Amino acid sequence: MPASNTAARKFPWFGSRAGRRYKLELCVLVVAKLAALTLLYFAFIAPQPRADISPGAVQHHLLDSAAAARSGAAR
Amino acid sequence: MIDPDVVTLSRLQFALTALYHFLFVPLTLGLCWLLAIMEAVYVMTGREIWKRMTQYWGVLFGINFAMGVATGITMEFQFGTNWAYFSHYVGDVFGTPLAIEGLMAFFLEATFIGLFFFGWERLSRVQHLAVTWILALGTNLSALWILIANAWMQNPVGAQFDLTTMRMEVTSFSAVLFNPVAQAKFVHTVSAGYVLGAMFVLSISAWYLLQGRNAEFAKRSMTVAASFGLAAALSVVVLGDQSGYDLTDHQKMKIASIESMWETEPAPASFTLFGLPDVHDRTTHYAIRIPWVMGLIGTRSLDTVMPGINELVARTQIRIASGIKAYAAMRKLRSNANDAAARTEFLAHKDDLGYALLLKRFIDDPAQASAADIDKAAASTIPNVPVLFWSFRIMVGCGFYFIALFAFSFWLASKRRLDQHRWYLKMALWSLPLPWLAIELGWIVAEYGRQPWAIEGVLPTSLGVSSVSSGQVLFSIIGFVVFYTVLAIIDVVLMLRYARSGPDGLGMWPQTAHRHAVESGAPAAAD
Repeated sequence: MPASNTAARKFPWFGSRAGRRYKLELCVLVVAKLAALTLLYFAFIAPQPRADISPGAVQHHLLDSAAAARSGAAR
Repeated sequence: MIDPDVVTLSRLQFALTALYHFLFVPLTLGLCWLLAIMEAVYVMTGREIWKRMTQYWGVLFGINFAMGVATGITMEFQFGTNWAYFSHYVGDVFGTPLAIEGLMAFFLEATFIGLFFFGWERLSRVQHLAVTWILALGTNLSALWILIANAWMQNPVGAQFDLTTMRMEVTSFSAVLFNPVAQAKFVHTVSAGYVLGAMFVLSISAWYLLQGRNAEFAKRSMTVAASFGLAAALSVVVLGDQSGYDLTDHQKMKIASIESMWETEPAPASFTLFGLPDVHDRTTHYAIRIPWVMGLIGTRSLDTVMPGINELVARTQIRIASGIKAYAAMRKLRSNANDAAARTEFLAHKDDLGYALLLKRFIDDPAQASAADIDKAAASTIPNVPVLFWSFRIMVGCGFYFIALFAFSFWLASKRRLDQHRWYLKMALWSLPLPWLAIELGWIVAEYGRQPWAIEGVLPTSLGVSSVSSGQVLFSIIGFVVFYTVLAIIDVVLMLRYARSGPDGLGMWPQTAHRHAVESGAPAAAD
C-alpha cells in the first residue's frame, strides 16, 4: 500500500478540525431551519381559520350559490 | 363566485415553493449516485483518492441536502391553509403515498445520511459503501412516492367520486401505484436529476482545471461525471419521449398546447420547430414545421390523428353539457338519496361532473349555464400556449445540448485530454445552470400545462382553494419569500465557500497525505 494512502487514512477528514466544523455547520443549519419553519408555522399558518370540509360544507362549496358557500365555509 | 385573487395568489405561492424546493431535490437525486459510484471504485481499487473524491463531493452533497431538507414542508402547510377543499377531495388518494414519502425521506434518507457523514471512521469500507448505496436508493424511492401522488393529478386512475363523503375515494390502490403516468414521470424526473448531478461535478471540476488546481482529482471526477451524465442525458430524452406519448392518451390539451396545434392536422401531424403562438387569433405565426414528426412521436403510428386545440374545445363543450346533467342529478341525490331517476342520470354522466364544475368560475349555479357560459368554460381549458410552447422547446434544446456536451466530455476523458482545451472547460463551467433551467421548465410544462385543472378532468383548480382572504394568502407568501430568500443566500454562500476551497483548500487532498508523508519521510502521491 502506498505510504500516502496509509498517511491519509490516519488523517480522516471528517474527524479533522475542518471536518468537525463542517458537520457542526450543517447540524446548526438544520436545527435553525427547523426553528424557522416552526416560527413560520406559528406566525403565518396557525392563525389562519380552519376550513370546514365536512360533506355538508363541501356540498355548499360545490353545489350551492356563492353566498351559501361562503356562509357554509365560515361556520 | 370564486375570488380569483385567492386562486391566483394560492397558485403563485404553491408554484414558488415547489420551484424553490425543486432546486435542491434533483441535485440530491443525482449527486448521491455519483457518490455511490466513486465509493464503489474506492472499495474495489483501494485507492485513497477515490475515497477523498467521495468525501469531497459528499461535503457539497451535504450542504445541498441540509438546505433542501424540509423546504417541501411549506407545501404541506399550504395543503391545509390554501387548498383545504383540494386536500379534502384527494385526501383518500394522497394520504398513503405522501405518508410513505415522509417515512422514506425522514427515516431512511435522514438515518443513512447521518451514517454517511459520521460513519467514515466507524464502519468498514463495505459497510460504508452499503450505507451510501442505501442513501441513494432511499432518496430516489422517496421521489417515487411524491411523483405517484403528482401523477394521479395528471391521470386520476383507481379512484371514484363518492356522493356520501363528497370526495374521491380509492377503488384500486394498485391502479394508483402503477399509473403509467407515474412510471414515466418518475424515470424522467430522476434521470433529469442525474444529469444535474453529473453537470454539477463536471462544471466544478472544470473550474479546478481552469485554475490549475486538483488536476488528478478533477479529471477523475469529470470522467465519472461524463460517463454517468451521458447515460443520464440519453435516458432523459428517451424517457421524456415516453412522457410525451402518455400525454397523447391522458392530456390531449396539454400536448396540443405544447405544440401550439390549433387545428387538427391529417395524420401524422407535423412538429412545429419554431413559431409565434397567437392566443387571440388562435394561430401560430411564422411556423416552421417538420412533416410527420409530431404524429410519430406522439402516437407512434402513421394513421392516428392528434386533435388540435379548437377540436378539443368543441369536445369539452359536449362534456360540460353532459356534466351539467350529473351536477343537477347530484344536487337531487344530496336532497333525496333514494331518488332512483337522479341516480341513473348521475351514473350516466358522472365522468363529466368535473367539466360542469368548470362553470363555477363564471356562474354561481352551473345547472343554469347558458350556451355562452359553456363556451367560456370550454375556452378556459386552453392553458397558456406561448409559455408551454417555449418552455418545452428550451427544455428539449437543453436536453440535446447535454447529450452533446457529455458525449464530447466522454470522448475527451477516453483520450485523457480533459485538460487540453480551455474553451471546453469554460463551456463545461458555464453550463452549470442549464440543467436547473431545464428541470424548472419541465416542471412548468407539467404543472402549468395541467391548468385549469387541479386534477385532470375531475376538479378545477379554482374549486380547490380554501375560503381564505387574499390578504391572508399574501401575508403568508411574504413570510415564505423572506424565509426562502435567507435560505438561498446561506446556500449560495456555503456552496461557493466549499467549492472554492476545493479538496486542496479543505486539506482533503493532497495536503493531508502530503503532510504526513513529509513528516514520515515517505514520498507523497502526486496530485
